[in-house]
Amino acid sequence: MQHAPTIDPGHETSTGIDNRKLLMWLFLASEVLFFGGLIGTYLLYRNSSVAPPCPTDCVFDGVTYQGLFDIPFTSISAFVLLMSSVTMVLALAAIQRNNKRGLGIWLLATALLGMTFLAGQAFEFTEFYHEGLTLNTNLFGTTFFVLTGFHGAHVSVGVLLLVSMFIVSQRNDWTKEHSLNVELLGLYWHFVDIVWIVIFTLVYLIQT
Amino acid sequence: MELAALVLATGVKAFFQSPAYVIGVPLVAVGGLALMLALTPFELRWPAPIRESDLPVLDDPPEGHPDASEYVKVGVFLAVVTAVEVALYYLDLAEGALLGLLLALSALKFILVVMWFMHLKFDNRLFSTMFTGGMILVLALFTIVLATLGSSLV
Amino acid sequence: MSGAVIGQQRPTIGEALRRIRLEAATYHGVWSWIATVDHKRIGLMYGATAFVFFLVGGVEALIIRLQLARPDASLVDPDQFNRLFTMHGTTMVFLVVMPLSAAFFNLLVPLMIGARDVAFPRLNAFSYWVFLTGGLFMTASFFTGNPAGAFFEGHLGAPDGGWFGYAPLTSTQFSQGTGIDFWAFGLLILGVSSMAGGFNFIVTIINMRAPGMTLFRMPVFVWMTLATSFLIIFAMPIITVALFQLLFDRLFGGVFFSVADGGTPLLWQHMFWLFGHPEVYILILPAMGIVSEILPTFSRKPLFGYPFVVFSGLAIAFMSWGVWAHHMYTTGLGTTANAAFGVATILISVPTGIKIFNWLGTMWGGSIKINTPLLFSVGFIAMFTIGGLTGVMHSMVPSDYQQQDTYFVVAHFHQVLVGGALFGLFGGIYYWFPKFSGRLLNEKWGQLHFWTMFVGFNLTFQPMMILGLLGMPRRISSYSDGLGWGFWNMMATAGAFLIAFSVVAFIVNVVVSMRSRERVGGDPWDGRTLEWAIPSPPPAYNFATIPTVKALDDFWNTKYVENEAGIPVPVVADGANGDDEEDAGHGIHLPSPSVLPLIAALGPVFIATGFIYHGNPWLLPLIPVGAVTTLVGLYGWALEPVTE
Ligand SMILES: [Cu+2]
Repeated sequence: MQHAPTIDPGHETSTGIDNRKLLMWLFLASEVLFFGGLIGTYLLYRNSSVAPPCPTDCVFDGVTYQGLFDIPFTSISAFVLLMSSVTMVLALAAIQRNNKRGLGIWLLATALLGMTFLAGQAFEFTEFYHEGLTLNTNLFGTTFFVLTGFHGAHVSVGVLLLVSMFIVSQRNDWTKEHSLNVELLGLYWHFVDIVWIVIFTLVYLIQT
Repeated sequence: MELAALVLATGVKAFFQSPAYVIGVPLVAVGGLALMLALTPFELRWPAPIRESDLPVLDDPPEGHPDASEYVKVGVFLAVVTAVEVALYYLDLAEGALLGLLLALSALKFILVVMWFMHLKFDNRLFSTMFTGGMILVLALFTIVLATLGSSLV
Repeated sequence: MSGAVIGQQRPTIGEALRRIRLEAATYHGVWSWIATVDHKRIGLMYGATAFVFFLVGGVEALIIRLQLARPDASLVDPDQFNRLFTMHGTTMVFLVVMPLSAAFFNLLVPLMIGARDVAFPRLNAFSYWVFLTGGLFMTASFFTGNPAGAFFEGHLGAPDGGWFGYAPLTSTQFSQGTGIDFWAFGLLILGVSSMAGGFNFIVTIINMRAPGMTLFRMPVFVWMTLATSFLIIFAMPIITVALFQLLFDRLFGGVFFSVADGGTPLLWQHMFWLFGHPEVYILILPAMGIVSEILPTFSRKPLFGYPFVVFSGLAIAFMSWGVWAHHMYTTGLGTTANAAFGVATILISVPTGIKIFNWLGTMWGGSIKINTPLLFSVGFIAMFTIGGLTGVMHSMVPSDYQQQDTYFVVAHFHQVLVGGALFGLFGGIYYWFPKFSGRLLNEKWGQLHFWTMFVGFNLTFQPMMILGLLGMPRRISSYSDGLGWGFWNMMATAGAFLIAFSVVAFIVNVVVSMRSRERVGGDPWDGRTLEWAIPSPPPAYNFATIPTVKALDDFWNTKYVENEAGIPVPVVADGANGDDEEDAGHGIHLPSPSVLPLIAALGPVFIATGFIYHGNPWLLPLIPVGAVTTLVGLYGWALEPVTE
């Protein structure tokens, strides 16, 4: 990670952009299409379920079923993930000033916030499961669990990387020369965060 | 834990049907990583030779990067926007107005994170071009797909 | 932490990795290939592997043709027939044409832009190994994908839903067994490989160019690689989503494509063709790039209208995003949508036509030297033009209503993919073979190869045009006598065997040529681009000194100057052409070999197998085994130093 991937480390790239940063942005651009596909599918099938339960109150065969979404709860977990972006960027700011201790603290904070978000998601999923929503109950179940599940998987990968980076940075002598590593992980983490901003709005808040 | 019992009792298929796997998979992964680290016969150290850092902690961020306090300000603002969003949800607004406001506010959050935390405001134009290119592409494609299937994005 | 040996300091991970590293550097023979991160070796492995899959896909095609040669044949039953055409299409698209293009990207891009390797050599090795394991996994479905779900039962398995895998043909209701699961996971794994390659080549082309190699001094092939890579990284995620949805439906009872639950199978068609139409250009743009390199060399003229060729290539790539629904006219999208997509599809033929005229303009008035690479390129232009024009016929909605699902469509896309992509790729093999082997391919065998392939190709696919217009549907395993299709089908089968013969001629040619003692120098064709400036085969470090580029076709300009009449005359003092630096490679740091990309690439097939057989307690643990394998590979990879 800390070595420049160019063959001759002193060799400047044609554009002056670091190779790995370019790679990360290309990866994120391609991830946009991935999440776009999942979100698009959810929106296509919104309100198309032929059986309960639904995200908001719905009526089947004259029976009213209570909606599953718990907006205050999800707002808190969305807020947690948003704040983890702040701690992530503070980790970067710390290592850019040679502050290895600060880096460690903020990385751990980010990982913990990420895990809190995941725990919230797990709680939400088990709640829904008890309310009778599974992957094969109806279109809502299938599209919702697959969309948020893939997002959760991305958060998990991010947590794994944060913990790894915490260990490696603290057992070694990281200085501002290593800040690109933090910046790249940060890009990934913020991306996962903005995906949740979109999901939170389109899936949870907007009910048409 | 209830979750573990559920998985053990009903097998993989049920595990995936009850989508609690979102927590299960990372738990297994983090546990696996911890196990690997604990049992590794190697000293865990970055390959670079260790030298004790005598570099002082700098006061200023490197050129082209905002100061930590700027980040905190953006963070506070993001928190406020989220609060406003939730408040709006509970206000009995007209459907169209609510929709427009919510979309505008989350677009604002999105742009703030991308511009400040992901540094697109300060960084090379190439990155913004690629990222917005992907955004525009996916928006255009799925608007059309949903339209032909008699649905719409919002 | 436990595990320490008392009284002995534990080695650091870095030291352990360094030891593996040093070990890998001493590998010889096969092991030196397994641990390689050299773009040239990876390119050759891509090419060789893809060629083996080409033979597999070819045998599938021959069985299909034998079955269809006569009416009411029963060589294979309808079920086996479905599996054969599914695997034929999947193999040829994902395991032959795409990796053959990737082989050329690997071999040529660093040489053409004056770099010593790609931007991420180990990621490149990872791409190859993932392709290999994914391809083997996909092909293994012949032995595993049986209705009862167990391993081989004396009956060929394999997916049976067509290469497009339309829902609900792929649902568990209509496709029992594990064939489709292997197909979907196989495509996911191959997608990882293509995307990793796509990222790598974009970064390489943007960032690793030699000094002075501005974007508009890059060879057209490099431009086409760039365009193709962007198509790959944006198109692959869409099919990835669709394949995950399919797998959730099949393995875990999801309802994405279930009509009974309110879902629509059309979603799959949209997702598939959102990917599928850009994919068409992922297959053809590299071949266009190859032809754009070959024609100027053998016409001894610069490419006619270089900026037009580049921009029309980019325009094709861009417009390929707006035409996917021309595959779906008959699904009832509505007249507005049909008309819009029809117009867009007609428009895309404009940049394609520009390219064709520029290629003709390149040859016009040139001192043309006819040999195998040129023949294949000219064959490409002719066949691709027919393919393109039949494509325009499909863009007309009423006309497409008639041709939908007939052999006319089959004829059209083979015209583009065999007569187009494959001819271009073979031309490229003949053109660059001396660069990487140091030997020319035999010209007599080469011409035999070309002419038998050309005649065989037309004998196979032009009758299919007629069959299609006569109304013969695609994907039928037999037809009754008296429909009047027997004659044309027999002709197509004869042509298919002539193509098979031409491929044998090619193999003989490679064997004969590799045994010949004649060697060629760095520049056997009097080439124009940078790869001809270095010895054949190129040294591991490619360029002893990184060249400084001053113009388009820079290497040509070091050899020739134009006189007053505009005719190129050789430069008298020939300084730049001498490549007599022996052992100039000292002091050049190359990335060290590594086995970790291979280890990381082994995981996905285990994970996939574990998921497919998740009901089997013995195979289920393959999921964590695969995950740990990949994790170990990736963590080692991240921690090991790039060079020693
Ligand atoms: Cu198409």
